[in-house]
Amino acid sequence: MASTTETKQKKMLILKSADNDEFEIEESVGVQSETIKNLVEDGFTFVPLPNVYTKALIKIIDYLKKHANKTDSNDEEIKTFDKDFVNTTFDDLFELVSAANYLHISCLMNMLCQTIADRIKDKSPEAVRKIFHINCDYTPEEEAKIRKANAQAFEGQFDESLD
Amino acid sequence: MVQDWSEVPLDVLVLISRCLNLIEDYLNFGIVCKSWHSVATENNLNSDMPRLEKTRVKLVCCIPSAVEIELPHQNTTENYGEHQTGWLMSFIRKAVLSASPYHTSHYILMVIEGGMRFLSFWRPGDLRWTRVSWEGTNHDRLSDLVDLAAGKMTETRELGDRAFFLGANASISVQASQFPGIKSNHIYFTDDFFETYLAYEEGGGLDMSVFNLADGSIQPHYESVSLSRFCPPIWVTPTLY
Repeated sequence: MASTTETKQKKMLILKSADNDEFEIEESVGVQSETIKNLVEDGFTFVPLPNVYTKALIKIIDYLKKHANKTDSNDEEIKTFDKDFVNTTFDDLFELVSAANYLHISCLMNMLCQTIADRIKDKSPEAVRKIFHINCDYTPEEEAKIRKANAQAFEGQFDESLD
Repeated sequence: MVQDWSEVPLDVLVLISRCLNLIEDYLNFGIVCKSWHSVATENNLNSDMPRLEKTRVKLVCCIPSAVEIELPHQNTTENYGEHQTGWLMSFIRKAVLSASPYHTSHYILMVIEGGMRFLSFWRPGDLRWTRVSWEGTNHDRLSDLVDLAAGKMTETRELGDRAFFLGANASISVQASQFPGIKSNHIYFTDDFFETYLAYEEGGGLDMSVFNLADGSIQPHYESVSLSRFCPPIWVTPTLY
């Protein structure tokens, strides 16, 4: 009954997503999230996450598992994993960044914010609005005023593509 | 599910805005909508955001071509922090391109930086600046060869068929055999110590000559005096454009 013994040794947590799916993970994996860590310290083993949907939670659990096993030798492997992790749509990035923010996973937050920043750099405000489905809440006059103030920034050409 | 990113919590927007390293992108960020504008304040401006060092450098090589290259921040230089003592350290005294980026992507940008104490270079694709290390004791060095692969300099007295033109505005290497009248293995220099120009009533810029590497002799190349009190003599290079 080796496996039972092992399970007993490892403390497990259950995470429940906003869509009511439950995931069992090792406590040592989960506590990379400050939010989960605080709950564990208060004695919880069942963690409801009303702000995190299943799709994002599956990805984030993958990330936590990968990073929990970080050693000196798998540095390259983790780098590749991270690169694939952020190679996704803006909508997925939105889900992930919202979830990572709620869960307080700082290394993941940094990586996601850097990815988003890298992908919007060089882009015109119009392109950024389309990508992020943002309705501009400026009146044309207000926008013109800000643009004028930023005039120096508009000497160059911006990238209008939406990828 | 279509997301509305204007609903992103402000603290997340702040983190994203701090990851932008170009002032243009930062200003653009603030134009997107009101909540983004409320984030793009001076306080959230990445304090490492370059004013000079890491910005898209617009290099006007020759009319009508202008090339913009994006350089890594100077703080990517190895041991950068160890020698940093103030604003002077991030000041680039001089920058030289080995070829026009307009014509080729195989070029080297070499700079004198760090209070004129360091020689560093960057090649397209490099993620960081490489500082050239100097191995030797003779600080009054004559001419140094830079081994780019090793990032090291060694002293030489042999330029072969090359002649160097150095000064406040130029660092050019030419093949002497292709230009009648130019001596090979010589360094033509003009005065680049323009800080002193104003200090002398008669003006500065007098330290200019031709240096013969083979025998160490120095001959003048211009007999007259520099008439400007504040403008250093400059090398004018004819081009085909």
